[in-house]
Amino acid sequence: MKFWRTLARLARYAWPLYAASGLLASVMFYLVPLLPGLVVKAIFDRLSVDAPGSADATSAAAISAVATAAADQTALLWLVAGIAGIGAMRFTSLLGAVAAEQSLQQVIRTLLRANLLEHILDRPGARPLPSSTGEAISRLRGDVEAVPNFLSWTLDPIGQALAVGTALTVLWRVDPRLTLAVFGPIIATVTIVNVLAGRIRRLRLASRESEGAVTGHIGEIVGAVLAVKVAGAEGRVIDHFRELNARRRRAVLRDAALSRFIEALTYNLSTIGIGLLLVLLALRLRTDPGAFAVGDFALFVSYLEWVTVITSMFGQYLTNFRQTDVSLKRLAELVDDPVPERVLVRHRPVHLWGDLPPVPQPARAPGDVLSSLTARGLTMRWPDGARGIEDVDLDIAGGTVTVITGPVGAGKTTLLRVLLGLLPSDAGTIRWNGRTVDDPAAWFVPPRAAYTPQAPRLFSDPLRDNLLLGLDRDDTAVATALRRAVFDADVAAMPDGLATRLGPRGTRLSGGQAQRAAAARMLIREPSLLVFDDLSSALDVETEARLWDRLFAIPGRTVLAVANRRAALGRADRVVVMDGGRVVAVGTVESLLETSEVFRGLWQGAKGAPE
Amino acid sequence: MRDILTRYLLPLRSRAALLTALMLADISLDLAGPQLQRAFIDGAIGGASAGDLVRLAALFVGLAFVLQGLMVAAGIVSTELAQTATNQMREDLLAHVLHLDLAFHGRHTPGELIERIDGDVATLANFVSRFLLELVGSALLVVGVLAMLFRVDVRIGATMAVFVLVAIAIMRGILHLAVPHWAAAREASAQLFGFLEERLAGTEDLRANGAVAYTLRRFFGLSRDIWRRNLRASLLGSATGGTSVLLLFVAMAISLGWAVVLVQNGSITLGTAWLLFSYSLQLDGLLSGIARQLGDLQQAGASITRIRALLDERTSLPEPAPDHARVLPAGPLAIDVDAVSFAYADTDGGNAPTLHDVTLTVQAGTSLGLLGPSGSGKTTLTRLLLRLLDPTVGTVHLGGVDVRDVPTADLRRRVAIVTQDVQLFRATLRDNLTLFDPSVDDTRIRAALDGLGLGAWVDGLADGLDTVLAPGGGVSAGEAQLLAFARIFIGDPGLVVLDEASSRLDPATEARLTAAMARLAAGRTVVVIAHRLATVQRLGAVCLLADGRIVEHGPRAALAADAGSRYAQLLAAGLEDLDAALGTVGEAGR
Repeated sequence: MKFWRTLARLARYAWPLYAASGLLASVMFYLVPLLPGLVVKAIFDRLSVDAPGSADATSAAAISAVATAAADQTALLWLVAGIAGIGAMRFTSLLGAVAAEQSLQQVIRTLLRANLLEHILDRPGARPLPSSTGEAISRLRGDVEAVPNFLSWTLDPIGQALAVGTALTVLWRVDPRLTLAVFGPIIATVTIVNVLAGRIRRLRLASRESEGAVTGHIGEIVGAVLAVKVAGAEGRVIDHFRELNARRRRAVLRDAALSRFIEALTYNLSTIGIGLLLVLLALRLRTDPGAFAVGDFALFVSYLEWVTVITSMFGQYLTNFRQTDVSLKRLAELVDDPVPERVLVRHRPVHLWGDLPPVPQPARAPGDVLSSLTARGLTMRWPDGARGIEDVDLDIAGGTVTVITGPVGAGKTTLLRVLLGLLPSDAGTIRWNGRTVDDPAAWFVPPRAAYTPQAPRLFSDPLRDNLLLGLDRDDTAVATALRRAVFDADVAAMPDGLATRLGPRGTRLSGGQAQRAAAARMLIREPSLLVFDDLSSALDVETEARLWDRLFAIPGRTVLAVANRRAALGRADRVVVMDGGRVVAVGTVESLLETSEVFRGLWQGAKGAPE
Repeated sequence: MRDILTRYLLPLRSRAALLTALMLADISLDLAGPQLQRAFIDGAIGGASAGDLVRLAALFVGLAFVLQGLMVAAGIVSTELAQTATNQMREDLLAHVLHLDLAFHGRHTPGELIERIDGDVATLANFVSRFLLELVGSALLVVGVLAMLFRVDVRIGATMAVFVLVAIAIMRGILHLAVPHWAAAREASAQLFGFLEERLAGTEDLRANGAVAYTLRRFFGLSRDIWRRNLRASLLGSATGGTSVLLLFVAMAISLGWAVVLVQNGSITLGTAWLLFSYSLQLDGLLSGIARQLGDLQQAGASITRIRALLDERTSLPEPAPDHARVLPAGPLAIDVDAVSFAYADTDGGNAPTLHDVTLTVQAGTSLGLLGPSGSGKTTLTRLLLRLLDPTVGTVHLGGVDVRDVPTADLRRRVAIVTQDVQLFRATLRDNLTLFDPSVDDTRIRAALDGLGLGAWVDGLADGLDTVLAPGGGVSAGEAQLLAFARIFIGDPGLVVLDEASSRLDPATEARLTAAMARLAAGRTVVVIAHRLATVQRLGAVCLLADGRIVEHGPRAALAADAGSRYAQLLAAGLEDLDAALGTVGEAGR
């Protein structure tokens, strides 16, 4: 991953904000604090003329000096007032800096998240993410924040160099030898930070990984709260959590110890620098007793402070650079592309202003109506060698009902997913009306096809939103879909009807309700090809019967369904029997009963009452 | 805020004391610095011996190195303190959330809960480890600086004391302005991550239904909310930071003003003038330190408010008082549901099935099949048995004991359930089966798996029982269902509820389960929510539900023999032409 090129693309994306944030937060921020040092030097220079010695010097010379200084006092107090004026200037520039920086960061965060979200939705839908959902969320949160934070600091080195250069030039003109003494500690710091940098990267990675494990566990546990509760496993789950927490504590501690050391070192450099200054001055006074000027000392200390603060910020910058690099890599892991940054930092509107993007509505072309669907040699093997599908052929004629059946683990769901592009295939071709489908994932969407998975996922939104998912249809169309999915009576019984909020992941619906809601979600898209995976698994017999009747009565539909029950099998024009990832028999129920041993077993089991 | 901090920090007071000691040492050294500089300046101007000046300078350098050690030590101790305290808090929050009832979980997405358990606590960890160290340290140093200024001149001390008080008052005022805005910003962020969590879990559904563009549009809407709220909160936050910087310049001006006046009238030396300025510069460190941490305080304040709100959530299913708690009898448990009605209290939960005046008895050791259309209340009824819900009216007794009098942990040990949605964790197969109970030995686990015919499957896994199950890969729905059964075999419940347990199994696998069920049923009470007559026909009694009421209930054999019963109609229809008959009986049932 090209770190700087990636950041440059991000900077280009929001360049006006980037420039504003650079000017205010990176240049003004560092230069303005150089002003007070000059004023303070002027004040102490004048004061040392007035008060050459200690307070008990009550000689006539001192008294006359006080008299001549009286007129000078007004000028001195004006200088003092100037300090407050510089403060006001700094206040306003800070506010502007924050506004620019925050806007920039939010724009970039949204861009990164939008790119990642779209990419995750675009990848084969059934392929698991490289990490748990909770883990992915932790990356979309923490790592996505780290990148734009760093981006808004990328111009800081320029402001830092300008400020340090100016400070050093001013000091050099006062005293080159002392100025060199200031440099020592600064160079030392930068070296040490660089030496330690490799270690920081490793520690930070370990620390963030342990955090991800904790977040992932919380997500899984609260997602499975019912299972945990009914098993009475709350205590044990917490024990496991405690262990993950302890691991995280150790990792964070190691990370913090090193960061702290570097942080404290850079802070203390200013004190060490003053110490060096004092030693050098003392040594010089040994040979030249009149060589000490308080005003110069004041200027040195003032700039020393600010220059070390800048150095420490540069040290943090380096640390942040390493950490951001880690974050960027963790984001790249979510991207399934040989050049991850191509996806990650793709320019696109982020819609923080103006209208939200319209949702394109599917338009039906003549070729979208299915007349024939064929698959040849479809093969998919899991990376770990586990069961997949092997060399599957499939022929579906328009307007027919095809049911795929087979024992657990036969590869029925995998076949549907590979066909629809929800899992990548290793071999095989798919033809729609004779035309080869190159990208099944993009092809098998409404209005051509739609799919209801085995365990459909619904969302906490209102029911209507869950069904439409942005589709522009009126309530009459919704009502038709609900009736066809045998979900109309359930909705009628809900006090809020279509406005009912379904709760997290749709959990307020029972399993059977969720399946029928998902079926309605598919039907309202009026696809030519309806694909169901074990649609009726959580339905009682009567609802199931009614559902199949209504589905098969939809005019012009082609159905491809995974099912094991007679209600579905009995209505199929064609039954495909799978076992061990292969198609073992194809035919009508009658012919299969005669020819297929596997099918006979399934049919017997699917019978209502085997007494 | 104080209650939460004392609750978690008080047990750690020895470490807190160590931290305080480190901080005090640190502060004394900070205060000593300007004094050494004053001595040096007055010595250099007043003609002190070069040897004395070199010694002063060397002392100053040594001080800087001691400071380094102290700061690192303080940093480590404070991080350790924060991690220990917040780990405890995370554990307590997760435990608390797990004890809350399902109605609570119905209102909050897992993503939102992650944000509240982890995100808010992480903000708080940052607060404890950095803010306490820097802000408390800063406050102590301010007091030290003021004391030093009073020693130089009472007027200067008094001016600066007034200044510090006014400054703190101003800062506090601005601080209060920003807190609600930070809360709003965090709320928007929690909503976004709740949204993302749900969508990432449903990529297949979104993809195959062509809803990618819609999902992105929703995402942009939520991001826009965050941006607006964040900007508002940050601007108010930076106003606090900016004010602190402004106040620092005022402090410098005050000290320099006094220095000018006092040096010119000869009452202080130049060294002392430098001392005054030097201490005001130290306020710089302090005030900008405070400013840096103010954002964290604002966020931590918002986080603590939300953490406390979460801890204040109460389950609607209270534990029995210890002196009132009763124990379930050993062996199979009889069920006695007496005149139970159930309705969700909150109106927005009203779409879940309710129950009306349900009375039902099941003898210990017998079995019951629940039949009825979706939404008829079957799941609700079984949730009452597990005390995942309490009836609105009426009582539920198991083994003659009111379930409300049984401590939840004891109840769950004796009542087991297989739900239709089997949840697996990213953990080893062993932990998935025992739900993280290390006391279960492997022979028991193996026996349960072998009994379900999963022995060969486990042997085929790379690491056997230690194989880490990854969500979404490797385990089919049917296997997951079998694993859920294995969980039950490992426990030893007196009552087993199978809620749509047979839903995703092919007939061959189900036959295996049926056999296993028969073994499990020996010496236990069993309630099955069934969708197939085949399942019911192995059970002792049948109960038909519709619209939350019992339509029919009795011994299966008797109902089957009574030609007028609905069950017999179903049965007759099912044996001949199952599908058509179910339709008509179903219509009649409505």
